[in-house]
Amino acid sequence: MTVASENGFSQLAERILASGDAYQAAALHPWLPMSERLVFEQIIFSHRRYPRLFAQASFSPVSLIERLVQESDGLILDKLAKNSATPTAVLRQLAEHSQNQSRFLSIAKHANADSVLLASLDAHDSAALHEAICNNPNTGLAQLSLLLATASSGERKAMARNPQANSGLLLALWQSSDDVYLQAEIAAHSECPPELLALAISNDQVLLRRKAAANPGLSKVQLAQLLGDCEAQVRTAALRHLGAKNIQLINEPARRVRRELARKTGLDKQLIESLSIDEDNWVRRWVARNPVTPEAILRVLAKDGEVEVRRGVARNALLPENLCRELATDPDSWVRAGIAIRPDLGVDTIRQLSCHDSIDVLAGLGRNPLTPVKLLMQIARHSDRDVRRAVILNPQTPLSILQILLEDPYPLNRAQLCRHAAVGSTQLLQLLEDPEPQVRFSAVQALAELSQSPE
Amino acid sequence: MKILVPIKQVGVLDEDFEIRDDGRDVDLDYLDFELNEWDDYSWEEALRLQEEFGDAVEIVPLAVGPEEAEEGLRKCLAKGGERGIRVWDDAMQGSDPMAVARVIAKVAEREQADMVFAGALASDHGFAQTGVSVAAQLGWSQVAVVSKLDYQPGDNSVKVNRELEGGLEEVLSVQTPAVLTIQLGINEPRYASLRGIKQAKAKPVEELSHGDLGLSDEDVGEAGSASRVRRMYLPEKGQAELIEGTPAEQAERLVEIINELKGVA
Amino acid sequence: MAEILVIAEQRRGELAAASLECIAAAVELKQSGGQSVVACIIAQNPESYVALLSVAGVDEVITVTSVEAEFQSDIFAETLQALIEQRQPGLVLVPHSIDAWGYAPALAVRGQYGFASDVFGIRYDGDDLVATRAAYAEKVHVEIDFPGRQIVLLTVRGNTWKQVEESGNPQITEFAMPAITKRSNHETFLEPASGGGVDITQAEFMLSIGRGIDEEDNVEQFAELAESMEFTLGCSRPIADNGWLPKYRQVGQSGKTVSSCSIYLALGISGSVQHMAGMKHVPNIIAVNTDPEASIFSIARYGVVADIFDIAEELENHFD
Repeated sequence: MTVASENGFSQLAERILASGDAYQAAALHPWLPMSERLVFEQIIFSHRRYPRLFAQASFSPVSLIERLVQESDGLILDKLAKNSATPTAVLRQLAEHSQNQSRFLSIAKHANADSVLLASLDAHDSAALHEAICNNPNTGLAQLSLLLATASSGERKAMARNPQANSGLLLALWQSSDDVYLQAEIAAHSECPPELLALAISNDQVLLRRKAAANPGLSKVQLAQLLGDCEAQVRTAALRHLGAKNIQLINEPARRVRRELARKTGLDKQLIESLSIDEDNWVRRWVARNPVTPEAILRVLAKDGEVEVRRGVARNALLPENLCRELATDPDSWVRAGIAIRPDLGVDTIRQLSCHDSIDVLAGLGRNPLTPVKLLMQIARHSDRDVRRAVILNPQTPLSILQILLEDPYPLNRAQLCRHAAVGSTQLLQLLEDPEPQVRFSAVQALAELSQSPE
Repeated sequence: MKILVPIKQVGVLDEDFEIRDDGRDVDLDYLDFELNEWDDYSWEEALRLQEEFGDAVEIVPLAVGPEEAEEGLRKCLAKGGERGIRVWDDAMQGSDPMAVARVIAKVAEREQADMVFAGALASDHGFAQTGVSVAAQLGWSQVAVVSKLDYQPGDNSVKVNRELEGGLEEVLSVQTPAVLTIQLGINEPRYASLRGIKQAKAKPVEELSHGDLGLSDEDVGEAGSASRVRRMYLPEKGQAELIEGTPAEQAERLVEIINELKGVA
Repeated sequence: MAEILVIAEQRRGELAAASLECIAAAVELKQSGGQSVVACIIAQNPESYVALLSVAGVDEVITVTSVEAEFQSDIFAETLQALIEQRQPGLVLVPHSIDAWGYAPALAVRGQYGFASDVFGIRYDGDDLVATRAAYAEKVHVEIDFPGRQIVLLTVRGNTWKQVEESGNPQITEFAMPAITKRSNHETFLEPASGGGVDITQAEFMLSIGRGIDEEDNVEQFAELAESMEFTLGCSRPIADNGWLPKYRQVGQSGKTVSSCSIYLALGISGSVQHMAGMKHVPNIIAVNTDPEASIFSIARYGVVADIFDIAEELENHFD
């Protein structure tokens, strides 16, 4: 840490102390040495609404969450148990120091609850809690197996979806009930025992065959069987989960299967050609987007009467430059907007696009790192707040333009500005005075990052 | 001409909250206050007239409420207008919309206002009652749920659209002076500029009591109200009905619900 | 006990269903209190509604012949004040409709009646009338009473009471409309815009997608679903910011409130302040999100904790 940045940080800290602003204090919290946190916490605890607010907010720094868990206010603890930012260790503390069923339930649903914590929760008996544990993808196989004996129908279905379930558990689940919804989930599970999968793909229930068609463990023969299924939804599912190679499905009667087909990258030229003249707009839309579609076909689709088909061509990842230029003059702004966000635009095309005033085209250009500064300057002065924000979201926008946007009346734009790499401490200090709490919070975060790295 | 715009700083209730000890309201600690959304639109409508006609139109925001209501007035003044009015005193505690309307009407008389633009609804209690009650207190005409407004200051009638059920609109003309209650979407409310926010801090907000308006204790608070809160309580079921089961079951139920709601079941 | 007066409503010749729901509320009170139930219709040809209003439990239907074909607030307020003064009912029930928003509070002020709006529970506690309504975005219920008021006017929330199916045989009475100076004039009705270009502020059913969508191609998949469901596609800010959907589909964008929407299916939308401002008024919000604590659930009527791709794949099979 340089002397200059150290000074910068202590000046920032002093300034925040003087402001008495809870949002700024919270944003600075993780950057402060332990010994200095207390005075800032006094600001955060100055009114009872702030600790509650930060206990609930997913933007709260972990250091503050670790501090808040020491509080005795039940409401704060309830909110922490529900906050997605709460780390595993804090969840464990919450579980250890509480007998509160609804708090246990929040923990059981929490993505950061690990298998050890979840296993410790099981001591508390409640149907909702059991189901949440069966649902949590972190719950260990051992615990799932233990729960099986007394599991309700809902809990068994949750288990059948749980990625931790193994073939033994899935077999036991299958044998426990003939509920088709349960069996369907088992058939879709990557650990589904082969004998059950075989049963599922030949079952007369469409749901079961369809879910089985999504199973990555299907053999080629089984897949072929499902691709020839009499139900369109089963064929669609099989196709969706099929790898890229060797697809031959000519004369498919169901349009939804053809739509699925048109998304595939393993199509031969003849098949693409027939799909590209399909009567269904959606089939042509997908062909237009498909990176394997040959240039000659894209050329035809670029003149399609349906706007969304032309838009699809504009969004094709491997669009040749000449077509790109052509679509930049498309009569429909949504097609041109699709070109405006491309990462491969030529200078001429950008100029061509900037002649029009559609907000979607301008916002696309505003966000495009290839757009020249002069044009960005114009877009930054647009009357629409979302168009102006595009310029802020553009990583290449120079400070001279961002400077204009420091006084943007839309608070979200100012908050976004704090996160732009070109914005420096002078601008951020100005944003510390902002009337919007979220802007001040983001400004402090950015200033702290500029002045030092976390301990 | 003068347009009076009554606004309300509404309480937004925290997800977890407690009922006050006397059982008649929620514990204030669990409320965050913000300007009623509808009032953003009624103020914007007034601002537009003011900008169009300049000095011929004066616009004044009015809040009937305790100190936190001032924040709402400042929010309005940050966008325009030169002064605000706030009316409150202890005797006004427990006022229902009828009592509040009586106060607003008195201010309208005192200010010699020519029009009142009120929000059609406030999001805290959803009474949809105050604006039209003000009209009756003043003996003015009124239109509720106005979605379009065509008015030249000085005209003795105003042409409005009223938004009805199912997206239907009625076009009508109404005599002035009038109270119009303004619907969301009638315009696009602006954001205040940073400069405007700073300037608003220095704009005067006149503070009045019910006595200043010539109202007696019987005219305000519970005594001046047409209703009284007996008790407030938590409804038995939570708000969202959770749909359980596997995705296949959840989707089936969703389809059922959608069909039921569409009335095609 | 004094009678219960129900004010029926019509528009363009059609009786509002809410009128019959108000009658049902009155008939329910009659079952325990024994009050007579009187329905009143103000229209140019009030007789044509009498048969519909003659349901079991209604003792009398009052017809008022109006000079106007459509609702006019002065006519309603003044006529009803005169009628109420003559009849002295204990309770007057009115649908909580837009028409009622426009006259009922004025009527209550003029007659100095007890008043509460958007009521969904009505009972007597001894002699005291107690009405129930909601507050703070439906998070709490409130019991209201009316000390010292002999006459109470309530506007009644729709879809609360079930219409009475059986018909009855009420007495029919005419009431003459007093002379009224009306201060507003009906000019015309404007039908809601339909079909044609996409305008999310006019859409009745919406399917909206948010950040949970991950990739541009997935947007296409959900657009396809929306089309097959005959829902209008909307999105939250990040999707439009990415240029994946046009800004006119962004809910909450520059004042885009989905004011005509009755069903809003939110897929993978966590619920930012801006987005919720654009759609929280929709009566039927259905939220699908993997995060059970997503703030969108706090305003949803139905919640589904699930992966949006799983739900979308299942829904596709119901709409083809």
